[in-house]
Amino acid sequence: MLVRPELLELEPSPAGAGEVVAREFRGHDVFYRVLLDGVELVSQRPSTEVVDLGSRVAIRVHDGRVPVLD
Amino acid sequence: MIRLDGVTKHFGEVAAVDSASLCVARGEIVALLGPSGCGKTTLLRLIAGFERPDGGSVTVDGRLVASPAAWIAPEARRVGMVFQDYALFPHLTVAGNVGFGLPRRTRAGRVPELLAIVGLDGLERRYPHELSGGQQQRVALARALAPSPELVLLDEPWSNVDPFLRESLRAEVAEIIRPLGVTVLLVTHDREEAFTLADRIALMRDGSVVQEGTAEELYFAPATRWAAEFVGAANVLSGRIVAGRV
Repeated sequence: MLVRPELLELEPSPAGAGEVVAREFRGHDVFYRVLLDGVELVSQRPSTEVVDLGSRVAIRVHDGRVPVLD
Repeated sequence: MIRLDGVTKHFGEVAAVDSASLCVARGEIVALLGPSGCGKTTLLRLIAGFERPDGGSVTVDGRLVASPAAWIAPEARRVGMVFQDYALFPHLTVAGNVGFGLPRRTRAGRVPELLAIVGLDGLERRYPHELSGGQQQRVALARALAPSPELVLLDEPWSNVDPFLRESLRAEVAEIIRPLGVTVLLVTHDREEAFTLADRIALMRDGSVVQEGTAEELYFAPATRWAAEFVGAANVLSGRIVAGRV
């Protein structure tokens, strides 16, 4: 299953299952690396949404195209 | 307009182009996108006539121009090309460069017409070293357009340019080409370039065209994991589909 980074939304939450382990500021957006159950995911969020490094986050897949790859 | 059927080219044991097939419609801008060494420039050179195919065929506007059994010389294919470094003649003026491949009788009328199209009127007596990079690019484009080609090939024209200038040069070329309705095949390894300029993208890997589509189709519906990761950042998650649900 392919999930593009911009489809992964992050919601800071102390009980969240994910942890922000890296953060790359790129100007109009920010790339976050989030560890979830041992898997590292990439989330791309607008730079107006700030999530601190080390934060616990809930992760939600935005409604969008999530193709299945063979 | 252009049709490639199973085009193959070997250099020694290496298949630089391996059964590549592609159709480009008249007036379309198509990008050949792929990593370095995937065969995209060789494919462009096969279309231009700088290389002969070992197999398959190249047809331009319904005319077979290359196959193992048929061969039309590059100058007779009605294909213009803009090279990576523009390849302007340093000893010729702007007018001399643009008119280089034109019959003498048509030069006087056609050169000013082309310079007006690319916005270089008044600079016809300048030499390439007296021009900015953007102006040199426009001279190269005018030269490629001079014989009214059926097809213009752009071979990574912005690869040696810094990212800021690249964006404006790309926009300049699009502004010139779009209204003319010229068919364009652009070779690039730059995803953003392909996405912003092309109507359609042909993704190449290991000498073959592995997927074709619009930028949106390639981005949101890649055919393979490799395609998904080549055209953008990707989270690839494993799962099982049971009764239509993951």
